Amino acid sequence: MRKRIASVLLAFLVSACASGEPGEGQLIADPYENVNREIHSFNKGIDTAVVNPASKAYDFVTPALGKFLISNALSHLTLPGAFANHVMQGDLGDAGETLARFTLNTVLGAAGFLDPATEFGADYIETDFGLTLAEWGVGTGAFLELPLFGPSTTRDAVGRVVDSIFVPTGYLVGSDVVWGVRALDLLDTRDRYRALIDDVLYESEDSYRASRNAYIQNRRSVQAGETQIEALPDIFIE
Amino acid sequence: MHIDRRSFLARGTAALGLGTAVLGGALPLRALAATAEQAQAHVVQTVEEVLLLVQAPGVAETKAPQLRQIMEQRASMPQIAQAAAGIAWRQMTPDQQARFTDAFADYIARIYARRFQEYEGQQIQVTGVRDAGQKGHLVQSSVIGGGAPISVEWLVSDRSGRVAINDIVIEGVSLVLTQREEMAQMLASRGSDVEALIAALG
Repeated sequence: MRKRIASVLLAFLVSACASGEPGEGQLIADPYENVNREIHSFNKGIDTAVVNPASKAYDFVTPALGKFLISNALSHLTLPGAFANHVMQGDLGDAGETLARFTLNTVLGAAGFLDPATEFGADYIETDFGLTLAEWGVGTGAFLELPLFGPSTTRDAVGRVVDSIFVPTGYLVGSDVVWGVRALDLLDTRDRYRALIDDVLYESEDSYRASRNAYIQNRRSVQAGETQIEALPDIFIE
Repeated sequence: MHIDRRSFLARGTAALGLGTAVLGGALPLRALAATAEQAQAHVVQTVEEVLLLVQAPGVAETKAPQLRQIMEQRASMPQIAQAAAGIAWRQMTPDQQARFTDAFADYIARIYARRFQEYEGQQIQVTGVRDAGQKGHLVQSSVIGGGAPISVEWLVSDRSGRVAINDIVIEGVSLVLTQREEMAQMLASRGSDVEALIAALG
């Protein structure tokens, strides 16, 4: 069954990612802009009414130590998936470091609530199935704004679905727990990236355009593993 | 966090064992060119100045002019404004360019005075410096506010004749690129009227 879902997704992906090249001066093609903008307004409304206030409440009621422990645990839960993706990308160095991190923090870090691994040089190396597809040569595709999940691309959206199907925690605990973890993850993420998200959503005249731009810049740096210096504008020659 | 991971690991694996890797994070950066040290010192001093301002009593609105003063001293504001204006810069008269530069600095100072005020209590640590070639140095820092750290990088060079910040990159997102997009959008939504754009910023 899972195999069939994956092959249907891949078939969809091959067709979806063929959709257009970015126009002049654009970071990404956006043929679905009208629909995307509708979904963006919906998402922004949800953020204003629910997610942002809830994340502020989370920040207010949770002591710094609590946030630290929760953030560690949430990141720990993503490591098996990240390990699998590093392997699929053929990056055994990053896979090994991720495995070392998972082992160290499980054993010495109280099941992942603490993070001694970073001190040992086993850092968190962010990745996901969208980046695995990129490694396999699948193009970015078109920009997509997903309901509730926010900015994405056709490739990253497929990656998100695949990552969520294969999330290992789903097999270990009930679905209620999975949803609880997701809700907590959302609040933690909104809280941590408050500066960036507030800037994009509430300081820009066109928050759709600003969030699209920021998403693509951020994804490129995650894909490269670091900020790409050549992608930064040279303010002295322009 | 992927900050400076490669050099960090390289130090750790250089036949020195894990113990050194643990210390490595706390040791000062080794044998960097003078300009890298200057770049790092410049960022540290700027952060200290901004923190002093944020912690001082008063509301964001009254701090914006002081923040602008720090920005003018610490960053290449005229060049940043010009880069943010993008192709519109060439359509402006010298007088409009001067007024745009002034209004842009006000606009950025207002936004960030408000932002910084909200993030009081967070800590920032410089974690490394990358050579950015012609663009100078990228000073890497982590902002820690309870959860996992946020990556903030500072592009610093002395190309304006003095050591100055030329861009700030948060989680891979460049302030200059973001503002260039914003200025293009603001200008387009005002029928490419430069005067209307300047009025909206000021």
